[in-house]
Order: sequence, then C-alpha cells, then structure tokens
Amino acid sequence: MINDTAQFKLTVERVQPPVAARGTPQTYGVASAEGAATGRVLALLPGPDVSTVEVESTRCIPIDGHLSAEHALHVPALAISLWAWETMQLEIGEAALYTAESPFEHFLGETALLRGALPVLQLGAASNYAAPEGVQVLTAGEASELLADLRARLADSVGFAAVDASGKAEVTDVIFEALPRWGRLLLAAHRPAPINVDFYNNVHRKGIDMRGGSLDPLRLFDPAQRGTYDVFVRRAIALLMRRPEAVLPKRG
Amino acid sequence: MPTWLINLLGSIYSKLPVAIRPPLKRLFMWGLIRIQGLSSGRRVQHGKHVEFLDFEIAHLEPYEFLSPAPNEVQVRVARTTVSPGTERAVLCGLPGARRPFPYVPGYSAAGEVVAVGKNVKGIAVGDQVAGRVHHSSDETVPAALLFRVPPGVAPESASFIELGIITLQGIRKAKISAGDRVAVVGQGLIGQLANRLVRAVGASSVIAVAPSRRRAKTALAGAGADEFISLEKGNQVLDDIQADVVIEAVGTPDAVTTAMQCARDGGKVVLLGSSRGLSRDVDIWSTTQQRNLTIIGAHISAIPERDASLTRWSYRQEGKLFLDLLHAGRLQVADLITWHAAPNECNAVFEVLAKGGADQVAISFNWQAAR
Repeated sequence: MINDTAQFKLTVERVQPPVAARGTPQTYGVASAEGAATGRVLALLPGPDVSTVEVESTRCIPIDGHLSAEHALHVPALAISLWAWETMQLEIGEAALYTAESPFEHFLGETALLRGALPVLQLGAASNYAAPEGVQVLTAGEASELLADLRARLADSVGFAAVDASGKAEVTDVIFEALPRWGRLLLAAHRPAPINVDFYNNVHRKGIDMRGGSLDPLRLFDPAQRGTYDVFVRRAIALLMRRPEAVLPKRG
Repeated sequence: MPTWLINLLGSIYSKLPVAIRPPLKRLFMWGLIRIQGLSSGRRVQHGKHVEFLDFEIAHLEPYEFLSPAPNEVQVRVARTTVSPGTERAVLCGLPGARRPFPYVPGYSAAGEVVAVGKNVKGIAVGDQVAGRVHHSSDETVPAALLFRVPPGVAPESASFIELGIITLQGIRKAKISAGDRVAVVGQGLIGQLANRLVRAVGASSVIAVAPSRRRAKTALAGAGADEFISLEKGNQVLDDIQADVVIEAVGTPDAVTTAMQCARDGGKVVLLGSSRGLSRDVDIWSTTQQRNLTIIGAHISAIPERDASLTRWSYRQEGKLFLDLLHAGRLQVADLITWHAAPNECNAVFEVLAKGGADQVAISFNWQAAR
C-alpha cells in the first residue's frame, strides 16, 4: 500500500511521448522509485524531458520489478483498452469495432481478440502499428460506402460493441448509423465541437447502450479514478508478464 | 389481393374525379369484404372505431370487419387507453410518425371475447382480455396479441396494457438498484407510469420533472413521485437533482439533454420517450463523456421476440407481468385517468391532444357505456 502523503524520488528510465492533441506536456514514464515497495513505478510526469523528479506517491502505479521498461510503458494503453471492452461487456463471438485514430488502436484490437470477439473491425488505417493479425481493417472512403461495407460485415453478427476513439463527427455518424439493434457504443475521444445526434432513430429505437468516457491513459494516475482502473492495471501487468506475445505489437 | 392489382386499381382511382372517389371507395370496400367473407366462410360484423381523417381531425366512424379467422379472436371492447405520444405524433404528422389517412389509431385495450377461431388455444368465449386493439367498439385480432386479464382487474386498468409494457421494458433496462435516486423527466402518461414502476423496484426517491406544475397532482398521488420540479423558472434547478438514474419520458430532442443534466456523474439516462427529430449541437463531450454517463435506448421495438435474458424480457413476459402487478395490488393505474371519454367525444379528445394534452394524463375511451 502506498502512503498517500509521501513523495517518491524518481529516476526516470523511459518516457511515453506526450499526445499533442491533449494540449499538455504531461505524460507518463517508467522510473525507479526510492521507497516504493517494488522499487519501480509508472508515474505521471510533468513533461517528457525529465530524468529525475519528485512525484506524489498517489500519482504512481507500482509495477513488477521484472517487467522491462519497454513493456511497462505499454501498461496504461493496455489497461485502458481492457477497461474499454469491459465497459462494453464484449462477449465471445460478438463483433467489435474500434477506430484507428487513437494512439492505442493496437491494444484495442488485441484486447478485442483476447475476449473472443469475431469479427474484429478497425475503422481507418492504423497510425502507430500494423493492425493485429485477425483484425479486418476498413479504410475510410466515402461515408456511404463505408456504411454499406460495415453493415455487410455486421449482417450476421449476434452482438456488437464499438469504441469510437476518433472524436470526429463524420466517423461517429457512420458508427451511429451502423449500430444494429442492441449495439453498445463507447464514445471515448475528446470532442472539441458539438455534434448532431439522432437519438430517436439511432439510440432509442435500436435499444442502444451508449457510454461516455475517455481513453486518456493519464486517468490511471488520478487518485480519484483508482477504484475504477486498478483492476485493469493489474490485468495489463499480468498479460505483459505472462502472455506478452498475445498483446504486444509484432515487430516487422 | 395481389400487389399488381392493388397498383392498377390505385392508378385508376387517382384518375377519377375527386368528388366521386369516397362513395366509390366505400362501394369497393363493401364488395371486397363480402367477397373475402364468402371465400373464407366468415361473417361480416359491424362496429365503430375512431379514424384520423386528416391532420388533427378524428371522427367516430362505422366500419365492417370479418368474424375470426382460425388464429383470431373477436373482442367486444370495454375500454381503450389513448397513447398520447404516438397518437398525437400520427395525428399531427410529426417526424417519424407520418401515416396515410384515414388512419385507425389505438393499440391498448381491454374487453371480452365473443368469438374465437378454431385454432385458438388458451382463450375462450367470455374471457376478459387485454392487448393491441384499436380504439374500436368491436374488433377481430390475432390471438397472439392478447393477454387474459386476471380476475379482479378492471377493464379500465387492464386497458393500460401496451403502455405498461412500454414503460416496464424501459424500467427494466435502467437496472435500478434499491435505494437509487431516480428522476423522471416528463409527466405525461408514460412518465407517470414510470414514477410508479420506479417506486415498485425500490427507488429511494422519485423526482418528477416537467415544464409546468399542471400534472403535479396526479404525479404526487398514490405511489408516485416524492417531489415535483417544474421548469417554469428555468433549467438551472436540474443540476441539483443528481439522480443515479434518469428516465426520459418527454419525447422531444431537447428533452434528451435535459435528462442528461439531471443525472449525477456516472449515472444512467434511459430514453423511454420517442424524441422524434435530430438533437442538434449536442456537446457530447461535456454532457456525456466527461461525466461518464450511460445512455440507454428503450423503444418497445427493441425488446426481444422470445427468450428472456438480463434486462431483456419478451413482449409477452412484460405484458403478463404488468397484469400480475395490477392483480397483486403492487401497481395502481386507474387513478391516472383524468378523462373518461365517450367514443363520440373523440374529436374533442384528439383536439386537446394535438394542442399538447393540457392537464390530461390518461384518457380512457369507455366503449361499454356507449353501447
């Protein structure tokens, strides 16, 4: 258990580049920590260029000492992806759809596959990594073509869950239109502008379960959100230590 | 009748002078029903039903129908309950509800079985039934659309059946936990049924929200709401509601965002009202995402045809439950009736409805008294 009032003196090993769209240099990194039970933590950092820093212990996540820094840096993205599909209650055999705009699309794909989703669809070309094996990539064209393609691929699906990490109104529109009866949707990206929503036809009549949330991994370092995310952090660490091949991007 | 013949007759009909179309159509229908009756061995029956003749015009009209086919039941109707949202939407031609006129409204009724088709099982002549029947004095309907009414449940209550099913399936999807604070936005008939069903599943407090206080009396009566909040002085009061669950029962695009405002962070909003139309310029980030809200669509067409599962009971299961709740005294609805209307008052009823319903909550047509 971490002492809430303590500060950890950190020596930073590896840093995640900050997300430009977030508009803040804040990011996270792997660091050795004097006083931490495991000796190493993931920590919220004021920026990417720090090598030593003092951070409140409540803004640190203890990690196993045997987890490499490279793998440990994937914990937040993997944990937040696990949270996303858990929130959507994705079941084996259901269709899963996610957008590729997120910097974490690889983990959304891998974790959907891990839960047994079939098919797993990625909307748009990947920005960071190639799509995981087994994921069908739908490259965005005209909205009407994309919608027709999506509907065809979902025609035989019994259940459907989607994570929209795009924050783009035109992509969200396509997903709303494609949602079949009883579909579930997580709106998970920051959205700078208001959008138009046909709640009547696309939510009410279809019996949709729509959640609001965010895939921002910095949420994991917010003490107020610990209760929500701790379990997913533990699962992410377990997967990275025991089954890294199942979740990590393949090297080309 | 084959489609090609319908199309051919339709094109001939549209070329005829307007003045002779109605009597010709009546003559055609008179002949058609008799041919159908002769060919299927069924008798022509007579009744009266409400018809929407045009936008905002409702009349009580005589009509003919056939005695039951093998899977049908003939019902002598005692009561029908007006579904204010849907019927008003059709009457006024609102988006998503445009229908060709003449249109026969109504889908929630109770009455007595007077004849059954030879293949019907489980329903007999003399049974009291409730289900999807139009605002009509007598009608033949598929037996599968009817529920047997338990003894002791009056027709005026049983005739809420379809509205009860609509509300029950929405309350079920809300997954309300005992002790939850629940707000119900909109205090028309569906909203007030929701007040009572929310109470029946253990809500610790039920807050009724409406634009004015004109329906406050029925909302606060019986096992309804604990508190009534009117928005006459603006929407800022909504921020203080902080409900765990919000039931949206207004049915306008703006009401969706009003309902979101009533929820606490991490709360649920169930869209039970049909918000026909587009919600424009919704700040979905600050209203929904930052606050981790869950929005649940709960239109009756989204309930399963068969098999129950968590939060999804079938139409028949919800219908039986509604009647069982009435029978057990766990739910009262008759006191929600604010207008016991004679069928020949239908024009006045739908005029009021077209103007927003005034202070009416439930309007019940009494067909029994009109015989």
